[in-house]
Amino acid sequence: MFQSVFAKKIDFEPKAFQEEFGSVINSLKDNLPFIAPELVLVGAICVLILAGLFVPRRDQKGSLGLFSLVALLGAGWLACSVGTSHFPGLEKPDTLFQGMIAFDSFAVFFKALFLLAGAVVVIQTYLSHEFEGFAMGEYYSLMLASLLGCCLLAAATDMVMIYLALELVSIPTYILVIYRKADKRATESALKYAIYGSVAGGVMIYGLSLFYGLTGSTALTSLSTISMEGANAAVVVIAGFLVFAGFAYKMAAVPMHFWCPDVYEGAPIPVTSYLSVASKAAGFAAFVRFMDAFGLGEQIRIAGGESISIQWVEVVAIIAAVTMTFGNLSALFQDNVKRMLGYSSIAHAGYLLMGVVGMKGIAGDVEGFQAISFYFLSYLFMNLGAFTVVIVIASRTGAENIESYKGLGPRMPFRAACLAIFLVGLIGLPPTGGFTGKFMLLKVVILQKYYWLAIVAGINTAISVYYYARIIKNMWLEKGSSTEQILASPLGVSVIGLQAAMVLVLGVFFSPFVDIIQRISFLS
Amino acid sequence: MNILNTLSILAAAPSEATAIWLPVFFWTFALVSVLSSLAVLVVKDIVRCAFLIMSSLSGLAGLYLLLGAEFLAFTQIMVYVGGILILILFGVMLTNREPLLIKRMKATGLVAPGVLAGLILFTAIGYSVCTVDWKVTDQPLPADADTPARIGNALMSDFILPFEMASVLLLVALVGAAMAARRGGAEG
Repeated sequence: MFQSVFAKKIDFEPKAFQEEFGSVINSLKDNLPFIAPELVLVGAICVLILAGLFVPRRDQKGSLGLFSLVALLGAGWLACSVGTSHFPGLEKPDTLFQGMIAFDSFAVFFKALFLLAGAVVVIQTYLSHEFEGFAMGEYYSLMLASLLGCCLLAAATDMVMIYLALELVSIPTYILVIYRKADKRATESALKYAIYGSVAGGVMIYGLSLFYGLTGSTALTSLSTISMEGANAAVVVIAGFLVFAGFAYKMAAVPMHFWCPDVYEGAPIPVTSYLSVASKAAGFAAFVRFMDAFGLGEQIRIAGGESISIQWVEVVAIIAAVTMTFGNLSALFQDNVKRMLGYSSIAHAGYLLMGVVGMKGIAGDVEGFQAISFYFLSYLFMNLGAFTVVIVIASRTGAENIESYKGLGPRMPFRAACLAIFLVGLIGLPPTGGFTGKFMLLKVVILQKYYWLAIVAGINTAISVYYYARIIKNMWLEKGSSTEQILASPLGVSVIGLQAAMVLVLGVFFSPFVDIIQRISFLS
Repeated sequence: MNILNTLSILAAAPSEATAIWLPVFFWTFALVSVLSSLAVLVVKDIVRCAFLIMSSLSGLAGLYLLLGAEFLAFTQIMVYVGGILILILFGVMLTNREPLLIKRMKATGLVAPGVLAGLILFTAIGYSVCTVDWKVTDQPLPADADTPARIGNALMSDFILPFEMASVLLLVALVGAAMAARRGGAEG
């Protein structure tokens, strides 16, 4: 055997090679145009790393930021154009690269969402005071690498690809959290985040390898072929929970949520806002795809002559209820805005899990994964908008505490009003996109007859009014120590205004967006 | 080379006479890797830790060899033993004059939950490994399996996207690690 490795003369015969792999290589070539947005990101990452060496440091935040913005918007435009030019006909291949990633409208939608979120975060970075005089080449290249991971994760249909994409999302963000090294909180939270992430990833890979052993294949589609004879059912349950740990970590769902508040508080605010939207959405997209392949427990399978079914829907429903309740109750007692928004993002993971419960809704109506897609669209504008205002306030006044928001309303009327709109959206009240999204999620679970979950979500919404409204009250009704006007930059005001407008549009003129959402489907 | 050669031939085509040696090798490698990982938990000196990790990883490499995965075994030795551990030792050598001791946290209330969690995971995975009818191939590995060539072909055809994306991941991890390790970080 060793002779074969070391002593054998390697005969390379081009003809035989062409026969064996020619078709594979041709299909890989054909697949390349479909991952154009990812290729743009990879190119931009390399350019940014090199440019960081040559551009003077004080210009880096602006010039490299502008480059990243152009790259992200370009990639987003490519994602949309590649997507729309092949839908709804879809004569093109459903999976790319030998079944590694899917090319479906679900993936295209989420890719566009991530790249838009990335563009907003780049602008937030420019607005933030936290990176003055920093080398930013690494920052933007790490951000783009993490976004590349998000794009791949939303499309991944193979367990190898899922795990790799998950790490590609996570590992750059560990560094982004610690980007301001002098900050003690950042160091502590980055360490927690990295340890937590590697444990979650390790647990997940145990589960994935059990699935691989059960099916003999890494493709997600093979999960439905697992025979449930004998002991297999118990092992499927074990493996399912182990894999869930990895997804729950990305989604920040109970019981893998512990990192979330600490990291949100310790990280630079643009990084926090990135974590709260893009990487969470990527976790959800992959989880939806995984649950679809895994089966939600509708099918009754045979185990040793008896028929049993594993009701994953029940499990997800319970986790959803616990997650939203935990997030909301903890958010009540927070004084730091970033920490509060961290707990609120845990609560939102709970609401979004309702969409997984009703994933396969009634045909023709909005299905669960479509509700998740719509909610993320409005969550993108609400949450990123709220963080943009928080960044502006922190940069201008240095305030991160809810107490210090007192009297801010009259000092920055337009931006404070926009923050109020974002917070009303996060509560889920009309006329905002938050209401439309939550309405869809509730409708989906009610159609699935999970009335108790809808009631829990309703109670949670009522609880969340308290802590979101507290900020609005502090801004507008309380008197602050100063009445000096806070400077407005045209860029900041226009970005905040645009996001607020989008939140309102999604709440009032939502039908064109719902039309788009209803056309989303994914390969299964 | 000779020992390794014999070993893998043993594993690939066990004859009547050699088959009895397989369990011996298996248990030796298994014990080496488990015992040295356990020892890592109690040893204080980081250099000793590095050497214990080395023997643990080498034991694993031996197990891979017994399974007929000689390419994996050599990669394990080259990358982990030859690369990462030597780097640890260099790091210690270049930074500190005194022996570098690991300061362990005082035993807090975390020991019992930690042991419990480990036991639960171990039971779950152990149960799975022992009870399931795994999807195994019944074809023995041919003597000239040529696994490196097969792995290379798989990486360049079926798994090319993960392979290339892993290179992006490694690039940014490297850049990020350099950034995080630099004195003063991005400000310095």
